[in-house]
Amino acid sequence: MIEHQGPRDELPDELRDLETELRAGRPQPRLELRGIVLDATRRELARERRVSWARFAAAAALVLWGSVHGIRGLVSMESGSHRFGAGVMGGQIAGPSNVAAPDETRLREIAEITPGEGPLGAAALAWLLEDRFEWMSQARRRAAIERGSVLARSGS
Amino acid sequence: MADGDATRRAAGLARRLAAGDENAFAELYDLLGSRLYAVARSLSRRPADAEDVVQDTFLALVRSRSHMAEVRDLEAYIFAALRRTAIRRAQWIARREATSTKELTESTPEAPSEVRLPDDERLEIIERLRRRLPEDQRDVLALKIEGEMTFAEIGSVLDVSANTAASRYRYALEKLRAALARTGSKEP
Repeated sequence: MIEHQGPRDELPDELRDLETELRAGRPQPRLELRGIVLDATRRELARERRVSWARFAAAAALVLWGSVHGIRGLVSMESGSHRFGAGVMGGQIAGPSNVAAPDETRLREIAEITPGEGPLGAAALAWLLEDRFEWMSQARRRAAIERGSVLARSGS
Repeated sequence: MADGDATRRAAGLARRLAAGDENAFAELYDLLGSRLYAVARSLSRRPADAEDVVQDTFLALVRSRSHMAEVRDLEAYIFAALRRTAIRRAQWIARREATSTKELTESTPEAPSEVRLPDDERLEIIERLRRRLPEDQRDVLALKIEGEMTFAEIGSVLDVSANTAASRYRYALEKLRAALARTGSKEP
């Protein structure tokens, strides 16, 4: 495929010569960098998995706590590529199950979270899901948490 | 069509990255590592900083991998991540240097200079002049020359149109050429 280059098509020879010179001077990484980067990547993957499972366990504990107290709500959690969902409906646990939802659906899902009784439950859930909220702006995140608190208080 | 194959391969790789497949990260390095380093080098002052930028970019990809399967243009996504990492690191270095004692910077001798051939000397001048370009032009030049990207791809990384990327590229080359002429450095 020929790319539409725009103004580059009109580059005069002297600029083309400079372009060629710049390309010739392109730096190369040292060979060891591959091993260094991939080792660090492997360590980070392992660390992420540990944290992910720890948070999943904590989320599961929160769901159980919610079910014991008859709290109606939904907690969802991601672990690596897997998204776990656990619903607590009127004291009964419906899940955990894999929940596949695109971002927009997920946003609604988060906005509908009923995390517990009042701000304490909301704060606990917000902490548990902290790294899943990172793609949301602070304002949206706050709105979602507040919405969760309101739902919890109204018992809906 | 070759483009279709490349798109499918990229989508497959993105899914494996999202799943946390270690081999997929190795494949990614083999595919883009040299270009990522070259771009990072052109946005950093020292080779060690460029290496850190590449490593930090991979670590950032690990942390945000759950979103990777939904990425439409994997290459643009990764180069955009690299650019953000390079900017953050440059800011961190600037802050660190600003807080270090003036005496220390004044008394620290220059690192021993490498033995350089005349061509290397010119490359060093070019490198210095590139750092003085406006940031938007410097970034386009790096993504085009070191990143080997098309203007459309550069547009995706920088969130500008392909024509804007092409214009910035031309301005960068013109400024660089004029600055080089002022230094009296001879073309090879």
